[in-house]
Amino acid sequence: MVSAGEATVKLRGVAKRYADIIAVDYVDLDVKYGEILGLLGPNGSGKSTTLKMILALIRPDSGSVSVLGIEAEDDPVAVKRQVGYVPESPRLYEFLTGLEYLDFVGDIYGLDASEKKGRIEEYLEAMELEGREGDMISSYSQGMKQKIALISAFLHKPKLLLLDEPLSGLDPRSARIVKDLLRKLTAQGVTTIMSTHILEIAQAMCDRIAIMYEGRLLALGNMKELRQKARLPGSDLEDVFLKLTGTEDVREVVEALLK
Amino acid sequence: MPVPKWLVVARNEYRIRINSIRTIRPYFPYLVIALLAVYVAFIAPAVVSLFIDDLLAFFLSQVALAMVPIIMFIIFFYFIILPITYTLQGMQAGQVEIFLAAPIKPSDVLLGEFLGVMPFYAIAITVMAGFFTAALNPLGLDMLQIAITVIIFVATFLSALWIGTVIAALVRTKFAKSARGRDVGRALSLVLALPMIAVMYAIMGGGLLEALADPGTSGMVRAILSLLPSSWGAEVIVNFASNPGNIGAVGFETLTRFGGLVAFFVAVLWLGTKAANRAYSIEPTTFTASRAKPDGFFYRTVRYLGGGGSFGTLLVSVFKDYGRRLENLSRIAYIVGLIAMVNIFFGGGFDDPEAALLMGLFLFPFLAVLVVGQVTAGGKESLFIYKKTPFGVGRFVKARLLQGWLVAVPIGVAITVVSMISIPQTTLISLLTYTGFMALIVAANVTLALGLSLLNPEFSENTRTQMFGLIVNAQVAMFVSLGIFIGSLIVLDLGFLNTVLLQTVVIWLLGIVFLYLGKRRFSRIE
Repeated sequence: MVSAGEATVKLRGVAKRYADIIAVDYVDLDVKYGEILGLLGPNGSGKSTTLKMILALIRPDSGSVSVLGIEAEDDPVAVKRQVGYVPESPRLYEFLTGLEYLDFVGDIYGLDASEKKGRIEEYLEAMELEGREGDMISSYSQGMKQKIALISAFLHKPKLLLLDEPLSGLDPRSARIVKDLLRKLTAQGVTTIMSTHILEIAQAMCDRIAIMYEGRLLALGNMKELRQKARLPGSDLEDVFLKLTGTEDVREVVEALLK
Repeated sequence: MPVPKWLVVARNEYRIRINSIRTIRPYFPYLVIALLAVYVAFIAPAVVSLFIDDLLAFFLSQVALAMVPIIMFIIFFYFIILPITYTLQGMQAGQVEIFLAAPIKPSDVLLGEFLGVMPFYAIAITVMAGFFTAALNPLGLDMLQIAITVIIFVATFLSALWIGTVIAALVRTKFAKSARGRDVGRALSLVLALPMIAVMYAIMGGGLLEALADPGTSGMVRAILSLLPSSWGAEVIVNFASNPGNIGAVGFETLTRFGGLVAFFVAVLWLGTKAANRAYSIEPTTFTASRAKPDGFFYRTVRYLGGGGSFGTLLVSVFKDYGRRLENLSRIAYIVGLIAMVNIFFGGGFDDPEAALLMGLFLFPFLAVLVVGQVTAGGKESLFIYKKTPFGVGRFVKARLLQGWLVAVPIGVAITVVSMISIPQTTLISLLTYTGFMALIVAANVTLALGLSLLNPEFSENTRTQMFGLIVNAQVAMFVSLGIFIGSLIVLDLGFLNTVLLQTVVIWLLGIVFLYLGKRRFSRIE
């Protein structure tokens, strides 16, 4: 196990290819204990693949992934026991009720009955799903499904959260609840790696930001460090991101479209 | 103490499967057990007693030596393909991700998925074992023989179910990760059943029973089937029928075959758990994007037929969307295969061209529903493309109608021609007349099927739900054809040609009315 000051996640020379496509290109990354790390990058930059390799869902072609001191390849089940994961598009069991689904997830993580019941009630109340837990998931809105996916990631009190677009589909109030919850969990020592395209959220929430591009780790640091790297003092994350990824020529694109 | 992970998965799988009867879920197992007990104790013996003499004669005959292994093989095969078909129809890689992200071993997931569906298959096994034991009991089988017979059914079909579950998991891993893979899966799910339908038709109309009365043929079939574990148990059952109450007379055969079956069951269980790691993976299998070639002669012709302008483009788009889905092509293959098998196995008895056309006449509504019956499936989103444009719905319906005619009519014509030219009495005049009528009937059925599907739209993306909607529409269309046929040929005695003529007119009229009503309803859907 790791403690404050140590790295919860260590990636060393991690690479993943699919035929001719390089998904992740020899990435080295340390994620500190109790921080929220934002993982940014354009579509296809390797963010989701990186998250999946951290969770041992897919194996890297080379390099090593260590999570809370456990080598992911050696003991994937032990890693998964410590991690809460929300995929980019969670596919829940549509023909279970929200409560049945959470009950199932609680059992999978081996929670005892009373502990499971208490936590489910607590999270359902926090996420304002009380009264809807007996409805089929198929009848839920996208935001409600996302809330269920988030609860299922928080339920077993993981030490590491891997969240792929966690606020997708949530209304502003629910998004605020999740953001506050993540901050409280961080204060309790939970480490979070969050992949998102919403740069404002990343800027507001993350202690550090990692920018990936074509499988490579392009930049890593807090806002100040990223601004320095991009040589854009005083700019927001959007300008920094576009500059660092070399995709800042949006004005020309817009002008061409308006011609 | 925490619940074992495989039991958690099994309970979840069971809950999903009985979702549609969740109001009676707490009582469901007791209800089923009670009904099965009544079946085994009273219903099966009562049903068997109605034709007990024939059954006993069958079990003691030459035919049974090969027929029982064939029956066991058919059921064995079905138990393998049922979980595969179920998986292929509704594959979702995202749900596998739920398991893989959790601290659970793939072998526990596999075992859980198997145990979760087992109660439903256990019902079928109990029904079959109950029937066989009721049929064999009057011969005087002792308790040990009856117990072994029941174990044979359990071991044979649970082995098959386990094999099917493992293959289903492997297939899901292979296909579920991409839209093309899921399409291939849905296509396969339909045509998988065709070989077994062929065997059943061969038994029903192909003279298989008569052929098996010959010791040479029977011996050959037995020798081939004896390689399969389903036959090992079958041979034990046939031996018991010949030696009731005297297991010692067939002790060695029983020991080797029954022992072999139990060993097979244990071996497949072990191998399945070993294959589990391969069966649950979300590693992408391909990153190759499907690329379409530029429009060739066919699409240029379709665009021309659609007037060349914007409607021509719409028609080509409808064709591409239809033709690029293997699922649609497999449905055509299925219905053509079905008609071909009917002609092969039952066609020997046709002595005039009209009789050869009958099956087509009843199956063309099914063909029409399969071609245009899914006009709304796959979500409402695509519907908005048409609804948001001026006259979009009308143009969409027109395009689907034309597409349905262009696909179904040539198939109907080809089936008619092939069915008729195999009959020596067919003349050129009768061939041309009936082919023309059949083309008109297929076109009318397409119109009717499109109208029905617009009236009864199915927006689900789930293949099983879609198929249910299709079957409902197909039943309506087939009953229309059947009703006209019985009314005109049998009740009014109008003769075959007049019946075909009447059928053409009535289906066209109904088709136009239903299409009008369907389009109206479709325009008003919000």
